[in-house]
Amino acid sequence: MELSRRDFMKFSVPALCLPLVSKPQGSITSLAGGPALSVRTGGKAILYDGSKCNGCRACEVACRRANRLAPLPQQGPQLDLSPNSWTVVKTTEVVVNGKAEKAALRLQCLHCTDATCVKVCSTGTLRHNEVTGIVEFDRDKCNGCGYCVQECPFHVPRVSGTDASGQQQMFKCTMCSTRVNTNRRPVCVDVCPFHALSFGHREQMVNEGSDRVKNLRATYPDATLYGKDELGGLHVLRILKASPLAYGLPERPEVPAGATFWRGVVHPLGLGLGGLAVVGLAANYVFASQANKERKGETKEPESGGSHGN
Amino acid sequence: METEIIRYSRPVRWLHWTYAGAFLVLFLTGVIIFIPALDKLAGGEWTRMFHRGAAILLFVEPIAYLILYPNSAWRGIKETFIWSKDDLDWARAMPRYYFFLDEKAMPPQGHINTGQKLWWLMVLVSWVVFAVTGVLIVVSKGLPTRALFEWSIMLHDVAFIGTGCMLFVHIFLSVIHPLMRPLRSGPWNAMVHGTVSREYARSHHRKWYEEINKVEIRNTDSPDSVPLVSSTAVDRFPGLRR
Repeated sequence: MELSRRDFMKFSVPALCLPLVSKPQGSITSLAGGPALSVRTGGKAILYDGSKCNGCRACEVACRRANRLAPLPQQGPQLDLSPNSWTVVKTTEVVVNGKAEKAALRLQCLHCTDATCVKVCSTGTLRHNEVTGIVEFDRDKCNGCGYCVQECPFHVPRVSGTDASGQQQMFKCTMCSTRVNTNRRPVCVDVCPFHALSFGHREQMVNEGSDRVKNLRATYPDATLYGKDELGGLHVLRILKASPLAYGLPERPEVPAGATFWRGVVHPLGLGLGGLAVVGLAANYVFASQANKERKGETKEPESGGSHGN
Repeated sequence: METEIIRYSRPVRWLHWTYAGAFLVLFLTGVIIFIPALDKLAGGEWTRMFHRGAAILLFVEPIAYLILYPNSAWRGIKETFIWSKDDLDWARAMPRYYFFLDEKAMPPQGHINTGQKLWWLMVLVSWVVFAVTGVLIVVSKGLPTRALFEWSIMLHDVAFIGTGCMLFVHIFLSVIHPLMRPLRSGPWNAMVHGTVSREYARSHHRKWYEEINKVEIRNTDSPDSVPLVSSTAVDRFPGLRR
């Protein structure tokens, strides 16, 4: 059977294109769409009012107890999140109307709608809860690879253990997901003595937050509701007395370009090229076997130093 | 068919198989980590620990060879950097040769053909890339900026994709492709026992075959008075046993 060049192309080109059109199975946050509409516009949210918070840290204590986290080695304010501190109240100074004023800021996972951590997670540990919008994590799956630690725009996830041992686990705020799923509120919201924390449907929290910010602008002209639209909308909204930059927060946080490039380009390219290689080799085998059969059919006598070369 | 032409010495074969073993573990654990559909297997410690253990082996093995057999190692490395117009001729003949077994179209090849040289160069370069980026991924994890971490992951992945695809090609062209059969006289035998048949050497690496025999074969049909053992292999490793 003489295979014309045309027939060869007719077979091989579509076959080789197959892996390029087959979509790689991704996490819930797909490359194109993002989480489901219900999460994007709805779900639940925490509203933190930075103008009411005075840094008493009762929420830290409640969180530590509820999640059975190890006690701190020493008393006193925490400076940063850690595998054993899933929320931390930092007190800083912000300049308002030319005067320096004490301001509190609660650090925790902000449960982004466009969550970078979910995008880069290599084990499917981090995922969106489609109903509440909470970014949950499955402790059994986490292998401590640390992709989320490096890529989170807010530097929230923290890994425990030492790298050398290979036994590492990521930890972060879960917004008390198990409680929320049974219609209760996160423990921090319940315990706050100054009513700086509210919890409810996200739309409701956004409205409440926007109203409070409007009132706040009388005394704090730069007051803002951080989390309303950032990264598709955060599920932890924070009322700030001054601009985000004054608190050391990014004004326009984004999913890092590296993460998008890795998940969106390098990944599909890798899967595509791998598939292409396999398909190409299969095609090679088919053609070569055919040619081999023909060649063997042509030589009737057994090889006696018969030439295969030139 | 008697396999009497020596292609690879025992130390080279040992390096090949230990490297291949470590690489296979790295490749498979890498695939588990890379493909989202397999994320259940990637969880926990084991995938990571196997990946790291095999990485240490992969790094150490060529170093050990370099220390034990520096001349051979250096000769081997030099081989990857000799490129000429002959390589373009191989590339031109490549589709017809591999797809349609058109051996007349393929010019005579040396000790390793252009494809093998390309793969060898790829292995060398990827070894460096994997080692450097692998270590950087581990140590750059706690750093305040993400640039070093991201670049390391990116290059590590690119090397993984490139060598992964070429690994399929390598295995295919060593033991599956009809021209490399039967196994007991072709490349498989070369890397397991060190030898190939005269027939194979003459048809696949003619330039090398003529060189080691120092005889120009005019009439390809008649058996010539060629030495039974490749003289260069014995010179390199005195006391070499097949």
